[in-house]
Amino acid sequence: MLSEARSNAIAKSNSGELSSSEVEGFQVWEVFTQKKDGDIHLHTGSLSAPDLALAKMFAREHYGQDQICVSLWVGERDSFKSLGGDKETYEVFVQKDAGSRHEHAGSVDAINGKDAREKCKEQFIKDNAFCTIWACPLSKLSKIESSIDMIWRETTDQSYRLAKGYSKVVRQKWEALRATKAVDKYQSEDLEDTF
Amino acid sequence: MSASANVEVNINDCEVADPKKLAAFEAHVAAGGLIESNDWMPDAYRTLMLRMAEHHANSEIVGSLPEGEWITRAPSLLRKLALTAKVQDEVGHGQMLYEVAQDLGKSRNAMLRDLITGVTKYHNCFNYPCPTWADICMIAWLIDGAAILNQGTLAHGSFGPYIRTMRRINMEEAFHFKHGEDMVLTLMRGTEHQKQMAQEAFDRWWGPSIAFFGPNDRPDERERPAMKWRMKTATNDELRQKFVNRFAPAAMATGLVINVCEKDEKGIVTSATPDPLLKLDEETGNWSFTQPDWDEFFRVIRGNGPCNDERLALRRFSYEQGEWVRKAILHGSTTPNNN
Amino acid sequence: MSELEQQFHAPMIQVLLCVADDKLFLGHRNSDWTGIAPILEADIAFSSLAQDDIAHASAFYELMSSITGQDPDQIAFSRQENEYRCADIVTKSDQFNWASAIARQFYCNVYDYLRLQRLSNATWTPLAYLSKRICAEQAIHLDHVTSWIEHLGNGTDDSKIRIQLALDEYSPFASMLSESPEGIETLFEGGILIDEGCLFTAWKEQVKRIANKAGLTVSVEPCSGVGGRNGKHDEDFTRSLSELQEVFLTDPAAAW
Repeated sequence: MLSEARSNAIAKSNSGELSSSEVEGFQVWEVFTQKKDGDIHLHTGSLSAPDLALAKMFAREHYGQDQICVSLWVGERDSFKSLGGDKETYEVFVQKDAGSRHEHAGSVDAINGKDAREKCKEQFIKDNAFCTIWACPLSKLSKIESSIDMIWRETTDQSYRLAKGYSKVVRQKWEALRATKAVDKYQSEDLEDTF
Repeated sequence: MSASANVEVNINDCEVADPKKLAAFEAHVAAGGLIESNDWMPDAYRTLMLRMAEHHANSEIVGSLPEGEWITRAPSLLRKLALTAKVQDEVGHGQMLYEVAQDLGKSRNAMLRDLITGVTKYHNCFNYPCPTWADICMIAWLIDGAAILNQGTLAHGSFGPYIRTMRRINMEEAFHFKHGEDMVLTLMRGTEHQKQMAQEAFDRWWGPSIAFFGPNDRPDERERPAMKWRMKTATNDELRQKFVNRFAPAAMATGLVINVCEKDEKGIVTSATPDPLLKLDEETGNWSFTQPDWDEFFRVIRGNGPCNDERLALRRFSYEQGEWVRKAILHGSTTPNNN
Repeated sequence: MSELEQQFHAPMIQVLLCVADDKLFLGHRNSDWTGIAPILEADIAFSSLAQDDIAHASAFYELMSSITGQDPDQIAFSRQENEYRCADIVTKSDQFNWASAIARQFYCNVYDYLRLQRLSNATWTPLAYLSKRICAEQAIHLDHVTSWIEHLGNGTDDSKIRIQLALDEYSPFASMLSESPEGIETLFEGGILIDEGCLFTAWKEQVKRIANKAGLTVSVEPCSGVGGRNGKHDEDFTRSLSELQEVFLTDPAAAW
């Protein structure tokens, strides 16, 4: 049963060959989030957007809303994966093993992406095993801090979108249901005995 | 949410893998090893994984439509919020799964176009109508409940990007399920009218829920690529039994009756009789139950479910109406607000 | 002050309903876009804002409930058409045209932001406190819609034409945002709300500034006549209301 607006939309929908020949997509961005102060930034996912402004907007509303989040970093995928680049500071991220998320390991000063990876191994990984390293030049990484630019909504109660927002009330309803059934059963047995 | 690991893919056309590399790959996967995007994988694995992620993504974004129909009619402030958040999550799941599939080699545009034109499919259960508010409650409780069971096993699969996505999806699925449970319990503790509405919706959705996990297991299920290469880690029948064991007693505890139903081609229930097979085997802990109507299931899967046309029409409308927007932001004359 | 004197209850309820009903219906209309928007990521973002609006509306209904004792769901769902206080721009049908959705969002978000800013200076503490906190979230909406106006205005020739058309089409409806609710002068005179000058003028300046930066024009007249803020609504509102209430009215006393 559709809303009126949706019914109208379906009525207007075309049939036959798709009219457009659109093929181009948007570039891919990687998003890292930090749950609370002091936590490590973890890779949360990727998204497609044509520019930084929209990438930041999308990152905030898609990856910044599943749980409390105080910091969000966004950069083009190419920036994280490139071995080239210029002499500057790089944020480096390590995936420890297959299946794990990339974690922020720290910052290094390097002449390019390749060098940043070497420095990352020297300073942060050392003899430990690892799967892959990403290195993003600081100049290409956008950082959003919730103290300046709100990410997770701090005012309105977000428990409506979390499983734990329903645990207590669901438990209470089950108990009430069972109590009612117990009473019903008791009363029906009572009636059977009497009549 | 989906049981996309049952997608039939012709892998005989795939490049034949180097036998040494293939043996090493299979040993790695059989031992519980994981594969990341940069690792070597047989062409058939890549193809199968891509189709699975694509089918799953398609299911999420088509699946968002039936529930989306009721967002504007949600009968309380909390339900408005929660239902909008749930549908939003599903769009998000679709987005993340399209990214996984895109990284395996097919562009999002190509995938959206194939979905709209019927080249690729989506999960069977999203072909059914949602005539009442109670259908929304039952979908959230039963279908999301089934999805959690299924996706829980998919999260133990072999492909890194996909299993990371499963973990995040399951976190949100838990909210969907709990909210669904809350809505069903509220109806079943409500007025006679609400209880009746709930029972009728349950009659419509019990069948699709137990069919959710896919057809009965083939005898060689575990040797087939999907399980051999650990893309799915539990069989359809295993999951189905788990689902019934959990949900049959729960449904009955709320006062719902588990009926075997017949439906017409519009998805309307034409007859409902209590399931005569429904019984708990105390020793095994398994409930016996009547299998879903597999004839109806396969009819619907062949692309002619009651709501297939309507839902694809809406997806097509969205895609075509949105083209000017995508062009505007891609070919914009200036890029505002850089940093 | 933390207690609102009896004499100010009636006009304050009008003001709270204006804010809450605007947001309820904007959120209501925008939530229908979930799953339909032009880009998956944009869909997700737009849906966040719709949820914010409904959550904000709930908070204002709760505040009203502290005066009237009525349940917030009952306030939101059970009134007659002429008891709702939203400006009809919020329910004007957009036919799933993204330009229309953004134009409406633009006019409403700027208005909501400025209105909340002013309400943050109210002398009735609960209202000031709530408005200030919600205003901080409203800033996200402002950024969001400003970005879209800039992208569409600076986009292709085609997008520029479409968004300009939508801004022009919604302009007369935007005028009615600043229709005064009944009794608001009482609140100014009583020092409950601070009169910071004409809200319409401040709003018009800001929308013009943002639009001009994107190469677009805005021309909006001051409001005239009686409209939504005094309970007189159009057909689009009637249809939206009936969808909002459809399931609720099958049994207004039931729990859902």
